[in-house]
Amino acid sequence: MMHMTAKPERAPLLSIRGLGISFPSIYGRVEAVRGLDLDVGEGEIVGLVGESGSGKSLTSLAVMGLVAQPGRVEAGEIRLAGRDIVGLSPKELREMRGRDVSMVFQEPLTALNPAFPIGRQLTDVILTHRPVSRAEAREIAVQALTDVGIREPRERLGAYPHEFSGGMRQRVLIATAIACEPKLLIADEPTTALDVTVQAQIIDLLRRLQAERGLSILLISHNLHLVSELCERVVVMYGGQVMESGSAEELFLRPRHPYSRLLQDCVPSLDNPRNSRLAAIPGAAPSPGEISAGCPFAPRCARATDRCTQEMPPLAQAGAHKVACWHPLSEAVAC
Amino acid sequence: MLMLELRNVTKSFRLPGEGLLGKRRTATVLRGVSLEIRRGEILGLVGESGSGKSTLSTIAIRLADPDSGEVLYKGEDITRKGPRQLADFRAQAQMVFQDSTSSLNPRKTIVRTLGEALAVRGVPRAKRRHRAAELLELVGLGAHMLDRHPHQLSGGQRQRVSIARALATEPEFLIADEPVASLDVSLQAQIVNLLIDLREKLDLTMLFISHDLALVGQISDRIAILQRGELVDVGRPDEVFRANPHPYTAQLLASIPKPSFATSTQPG
Repeated sequence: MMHMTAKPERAPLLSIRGLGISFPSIYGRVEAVRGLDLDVGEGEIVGLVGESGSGKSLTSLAVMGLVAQPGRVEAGEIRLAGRDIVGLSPKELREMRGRDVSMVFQEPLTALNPAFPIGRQLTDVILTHRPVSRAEAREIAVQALTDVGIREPRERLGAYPHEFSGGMRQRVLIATAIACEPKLLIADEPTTALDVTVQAQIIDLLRRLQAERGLSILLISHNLHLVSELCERVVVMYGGQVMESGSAEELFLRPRHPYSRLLQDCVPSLDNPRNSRLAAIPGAAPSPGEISAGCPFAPRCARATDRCTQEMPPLAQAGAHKVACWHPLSEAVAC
Repeated sequence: MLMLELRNVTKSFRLPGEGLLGKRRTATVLRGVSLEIRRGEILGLVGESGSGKSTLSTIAIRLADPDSGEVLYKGEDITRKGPRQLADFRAQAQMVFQDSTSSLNPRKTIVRTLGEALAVRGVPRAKRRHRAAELLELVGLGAHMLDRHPHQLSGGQRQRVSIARALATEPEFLIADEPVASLDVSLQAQIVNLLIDLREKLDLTMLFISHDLALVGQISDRIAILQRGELVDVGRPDEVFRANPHPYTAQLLASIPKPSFATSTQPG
């Protein structure tokens, strides 16, 4: 059990247990996230992978205390630095955001306010969360911009978002996110809208922040190659549930869940034969109301049997992984 | 035989505002680009934002005119043709855009959107609905989608409708401008495979534009790499990914996400 002291020594920084998030729909109230467990250790980078609609972004919003009505956190606990944040008041959540956990969103253009210089946006965040003067906040902002690799940060404080390229805007957002020195950074598809060379720079930046500051990072993406490059551990989600989790290397080289394998295979690669079709997953991810009692992936899975459509397999230890599958791939299957 | 040939194409745009002494400020987007697209091939065009790849595609389909240079479609210069002479070309060369949300009219049902393209091709009104259903089937959608609006479709389904619309005029040449950039990896694979299948089935020539070198490398017969308005490398994948690639190609190769523990046969 968790101690009530402020920071238990070995407990993970973020510990989610049995998280359930539901929404009203034409099918009645449906669970978009079900019985989800997830840990992020101090200084650890964990990847959360899945298709659109798998519940990965919703999970991250729950950690920020940002699940909006009519969505509702129905069950479970989200412990951040030893404190369960489910049921905190709006004021307590506001204090927590920025200080304990920050988030970087996919669209750097929409996440910044086009009407204000970036310096103003940075210092506003800092003043909200830290007991400093405006002049001190300015210095912190300059430092944060320096940390994310923006040259001549002092001169750039007066610049508006449109004066920055997409990659630079994403750096500004990351600067905003780390300015209050949070322990956990949630990055939701931080490179999706960016060019490949810029994507590589942002990934390097995240890696450096983790190494230099001991920042914990939860990286959300649909690209298993990208996640495996940066993360130590990877969690694969589908239909609001964890399908498989394990070390990035194990999961990449020896995926046990058929879905993990397919998700990996459908990333184009120069190692694949030339002039070849891409490996695809037939069908589409289910919407929450369509998920029945069994495994949510069963309708798209080549290995599915009657049991899969009737009974959800538990997330069980299988070698070095945890996998929720009645018919996991054998360990011998290397890629 | 060549389907499309760009000869020394240059294009610049006027920037807003005036420079010093009232001089016009311009940005040159394409500099002397010469490129051949052979009949039946998939030519993958790779470049980052601002490289000019979308400008190149709009010139190739004559939605824009080059400042100088020629654009030959099956040997005829389309930059010198008037609107009436272009009608045939317009039917033969079609485009699939990146953002299916904004490229489909939200107020029109799918059957109306497809019907308009069919009308251009001269399909009589009475036959349009039937033909639209066939087009949907061709792209892997059912006829029950005909009376829906774009917002009732998923992103992947919308992109399939965009492809169906492009196919309505029975084109020979298809330009796909980042057709999967806004989709998940699994949907991306479905749409790309659909395009590959359609090429086989309908004998299409394709200009496939993407910023994803790994994707283009896997599906293309030849690759062209565009950097700041200039073609820096053109060739078959094994030529472009040679042991000692062009420095910019090498930079793009190095940027492809790849875990350190993945076994690699990739050069660069």
